[in-house]
Amino acid sequence: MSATSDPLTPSRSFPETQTIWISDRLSEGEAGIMLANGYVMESYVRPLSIYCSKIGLARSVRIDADDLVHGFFANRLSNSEYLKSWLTSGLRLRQWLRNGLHFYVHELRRQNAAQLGKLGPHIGDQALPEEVPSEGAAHDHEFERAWALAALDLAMKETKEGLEKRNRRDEWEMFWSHHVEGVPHAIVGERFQLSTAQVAQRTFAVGAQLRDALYGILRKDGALGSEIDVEIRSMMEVLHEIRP
Amino acid sequence: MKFDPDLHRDDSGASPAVAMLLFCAILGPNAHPIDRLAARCAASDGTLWSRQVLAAFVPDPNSVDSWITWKEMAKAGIRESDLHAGDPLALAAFLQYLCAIAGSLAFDGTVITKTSVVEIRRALNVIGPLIEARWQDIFCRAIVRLDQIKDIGLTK
Repeated sequence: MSATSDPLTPSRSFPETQTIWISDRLSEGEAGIMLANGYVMESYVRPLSIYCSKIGLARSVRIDADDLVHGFFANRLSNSEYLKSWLTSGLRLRQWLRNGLHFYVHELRRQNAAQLGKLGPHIGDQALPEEVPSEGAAHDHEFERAWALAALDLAMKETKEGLEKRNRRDEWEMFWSHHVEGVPHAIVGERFQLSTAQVAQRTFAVGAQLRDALYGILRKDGALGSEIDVEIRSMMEVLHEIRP
Repeated sequence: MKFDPDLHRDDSGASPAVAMLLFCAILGPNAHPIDRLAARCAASDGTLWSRQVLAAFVPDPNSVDSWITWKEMAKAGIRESDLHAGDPLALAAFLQYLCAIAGSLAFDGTVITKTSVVEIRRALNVIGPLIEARWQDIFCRAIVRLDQIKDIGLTK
């Protein structure tokens, strides 16, 4: 994903094609659609599943959250026009999918009610719990929080895989030790038998690769290049509301 | 050491804290000091850390002038470049600085900084929930006071 060729001199820019990655895949026929669908499922299944669990959406149709989201993907992504519709929606992909999930749940509820109605009068009206409305700041917050963690997880995975491919796994460990565990560069250097400057250079490079990976994910979600820093700050905002 | 955490699967609150640190690393020098401080406070040892940092603030000031003295002492420990690099000592001084501003606001509503009200409010909102209960209360009262302030001419 990253345009970086030398990990120590990371690029801060992205090729424009990244903004229309899904659009490009959809124009490549069956193979491209499968790639796009695979990416969407891998990237969004967890935030949607967590969202379903937290707001009781899965409970409202008496389905396990993961099963509900997989059912939603199977139902919608089997239609090759579904993601094409997103491209003209003006929405971020995550918002489009969340809205779609609510519609899907509504359809399931109607189907369930219709089936229960055949069993006898009034059963269909009483058997299902209250429908979960899609509105509400708390629900938005839950989803955005799950999305922020999922996007960062994906970016970490991509960065680590890239490093492993180049036999540079230890650079991830240096990065982690310094930025997450707060170990000074000099101490990390002792562990890896490198100078302080070498460790600083490597952790900087990994940070840039992680940033590139996250930027790529946000671009695929529909963010414009100029919006990405704002997007990252928004992700941090939703994570602020935590209790250690 | 755990280099491969699953950010979703840890319900202890540590994962969002790790995410905050990673976001700060991604933003590099562009990470806002408030975000860096939030990440530090939310880390697994963050509560202990902030308690120790704030324990240095005894006895409690009982006048606006003494809150200002506190603030100036804290300010002396903040070097902008260190703060943007996430240096722990600079972050500690920044937390004390913020607490002095909150303390003065909670004390009698006096704003002892030229920082914008919007920025102060955000800092109080973000950091308040991450520190010990006594300071949480002070931050809450400071926010209430901030909301009541109509005349920014109170700024000293």
